[in-house]
Order: sequence, then C-alpha cells, then structure tokens
Amino acid sequence: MPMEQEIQYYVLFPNHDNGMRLHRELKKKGLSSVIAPTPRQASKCCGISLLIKEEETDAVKDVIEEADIETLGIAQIKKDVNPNRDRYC
Amino acid sequence: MDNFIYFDNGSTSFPKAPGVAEAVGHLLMHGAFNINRGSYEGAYEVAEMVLDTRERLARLFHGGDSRRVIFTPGITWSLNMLLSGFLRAGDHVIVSGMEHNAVMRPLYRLTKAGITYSVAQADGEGYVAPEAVECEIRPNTRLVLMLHASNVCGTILPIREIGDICRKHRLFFAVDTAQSAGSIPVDMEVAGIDFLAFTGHKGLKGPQGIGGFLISDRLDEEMQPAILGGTGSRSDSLEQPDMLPDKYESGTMNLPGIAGLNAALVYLEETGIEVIAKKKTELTRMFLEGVKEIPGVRVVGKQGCEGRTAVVSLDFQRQDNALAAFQLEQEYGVMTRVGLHCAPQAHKSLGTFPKGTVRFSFSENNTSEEIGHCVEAIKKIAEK
Repeated sequence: MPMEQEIQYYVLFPNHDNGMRLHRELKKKGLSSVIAPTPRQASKCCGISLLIKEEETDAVKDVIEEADIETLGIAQIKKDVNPNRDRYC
Repeated sequence: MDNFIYFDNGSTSFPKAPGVAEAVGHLLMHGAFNINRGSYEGAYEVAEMVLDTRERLARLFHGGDSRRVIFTPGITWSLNMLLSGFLRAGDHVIVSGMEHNAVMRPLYRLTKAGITYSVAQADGEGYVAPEAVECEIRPNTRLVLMLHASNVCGTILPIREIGDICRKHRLFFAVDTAQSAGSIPVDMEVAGIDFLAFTGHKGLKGPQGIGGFLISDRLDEEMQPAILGGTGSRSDSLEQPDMLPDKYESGTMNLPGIAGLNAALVYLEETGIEVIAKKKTELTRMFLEGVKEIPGVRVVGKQGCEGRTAVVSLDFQRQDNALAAFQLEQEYGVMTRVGLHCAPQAHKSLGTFPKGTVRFSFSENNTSEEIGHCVEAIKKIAEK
C-alpha cells in the first residue's frame, strides 16, 4: 500500500524581487514564510518561492493582493525528489 | 592623509557617511553572496538589504513603488540607458545650457542616428528659466532632460516649473540629480519626473560605483533596456524580462556598493537632509562673504546663497586658475577641482570657457575654521 505523501504549498514568482517583497510582508503579518528554491516541477523560473502553511494560504492570498505582489500562483507540491526534474539554471 | 581640507565634494563626497565603510567591509568579509542566483539563506539576507535600499531610495525621492528603483554603476550609465533605450530617429530632445558631458556626449552621438536636440539657454548665473525650455518645444519633441543643480556653480534649476511645462505638453521629463540628491530635497512626484538619475557617492555619501535611476510607469512602457543578460528570472526564455527591476538590471550587481549606499541612506534619514542643507548653506554663505571683496577673484554664477547648492566656482582673474588650485593644495592643503568640470556647455553659458574655474564644494563635515583658512589662502594667492 503506497504511503501518503506530504503536500507542500509554494508561492511562485516571476522574479526574486516579488518573492522578497512578499516574504517581508508575510513576516510583518506574523505569517509563516520560508524562502526556498522553486521546485523544478512547479516552474521553469530560476526564482525563489515561498514555502507557506496550508492553513494560511487564504491569509497569504490576501497579503498578495494588498501588497500588489506579482506571483505565478500557489503550487501544491508532493514532498519528494524527482531525479528527472527539469534543469534550466 | 593628514592636515588637508577637502573641498571637492562635488566630485565625490569625503568622508563618507558613518557606517558606509563598515557595511561594505562586512558584506565582503562575511557574506558577499549573489542575489537572484544563490538559493541559500545568506543570499536572501543580501537580497533583503537590496530591497531595503530600494525602498529607502523610493522614500527619499518620493518615487512610489520601489520596483521602479533601478541600480546602475552611476548617473552616466543611467543617462546613457535612457538616451539609447528611449529615443528613436526623428525624436527631438531639449536640454539645458548647463549640462554635463554625461548628457551632451551621448546626445551628440545620437545626432548621427537622426535625433536632434535644442539647448534651453542659461543666463549668466547658470539659471534656466522655464520659458527658455518652453520656447524650444517642437512638434517632435519627446524628452526634456536637465540637471537639477549645476556641478560648476551650484545654481539650482526650476525643475518643478519645468515639470509642469512637460506635463502641459505631454513630454517626458528626465532629471540628473548628481549635485542635488542628498543635498536638497528632490520630489519626483511633485516635479512630474519620469526619469530621475542618481549617484550614490556624492551627496548621498555612499561609495563610488553605485547609482541608478527611478522610472515612471509611462516611460518604462516606452523604454528598452540597453544592457541585456542574466537576471535570475524567466531563465528559460531568450526574451529579456519586461518586469521591474529585472528589465534593466542584467548581470551581477554591485552589492558591496549597495550595502554601502544603504548605510549612507540610514545616516541621511536619521540626520535629515534639511539639517545637512542648513549646515552646508552656512558654510557656503561664510565662504561667499569671505571671497566677494577679494580683488582679482570673481564668484562665477550666483553671488548669494539663494537658489544654489554648496558648490562655488571662482575665477582667479589675474592668473591661471590651475596654478591657483595648485597653490591652494600645495601651500595650504585645500583640495579643489579646477578646469571645465566635464561641463564645457555650462562654462560656455557662464562665460568661463575654455579657461574654466576653481571649484569649491562643501559638505556638512567641513567646518567654519576650514572655510576661514581657505579664504585667507585665496587672499594670499590673489595678491601674488
């Protein structure tokens, strides 16, 4: 029987600048935000992404709108390593 | 170097603001990681510092969204990026009669590519009346570009009124703040500035090699980046990203320079530009009072403290200005800049071309004792 895989939530960005801005805003609001390299399966961007908590995704969306941050959406990624991932950087 | 008096802050400020050298050294010694590339905590900390610097600059210049703050090596780069990235064959540009070669040389070159320009004439004090700009407008005029304050004689140009003219005629307005940023308030919004070029190493009191520009959305829509390359974003595409600041920031940035500039901006915010300006004005007033009655020495440009920065040019009428500057340095330890100050256009307007002037430019770190010493030195040199 296959094991259930943990789902992680990543906010994706077109560039680093927007990622850093949202990270700063989330910290100000006391919301969890960990800067991480974007999983290759989620985006072709070399940029950073923000690892957030599932239960805070709605609050994060509100901050994105309030702070006028450009994102590429929030991706749900299974926590595993794909050795055949895309490599662009 | 001990026992010298530094009056060449118009070239570059010295000493730098407290904390600048430490900030540059700290970054280099403890984590000169690359932003937009490195995927580790140290790089993110540097990225936070860069973002903080953008926000401080946006506040300083009232530039709005700090994504529109772009870093370059300095104003010359910024102006070249504007001129080559914005103008097209057939466009007409208006500049002032006080411009630096950072404007005039790239613009002159562009005349060979079908771009024309007119010069809004300055008066004998280096002032450019708004009407002088308005009367140069042609049907194909697209840009008005001028410095905020003269690097030769310190005269402040009326950018607010000229900005109004640009709004009225729907022209883009670009301002070179080399001699005003950090010395007097500059408000991008009030003056309707579309492109504000700044350098970090003069009035902002940061290190050399870092500067940039702030750009309006409407200008950004019509401007192309002059330098293309890696930005750490959309790396799968051969198209240059069109989002800010990536569009204009290809290649690794001068992060030690930005760290130093950040420390300088902290100092400026804590001290207050008005406080700095007041101190500089007092020193300038004392200097002008001291030299105005010296026979054989002429103050070039405005004679008083109104409408000027702490940059003063003198013409030693009975001798070679270079020799006077040499004596000031060799015999009295006063460091100045002599010549044309990379601004032959301005010297022509002021009637000091090609002889040039001896320029004295003060900072808030200078003292009244230094001014007194220098005035006495000028008296003795002028007597010879």
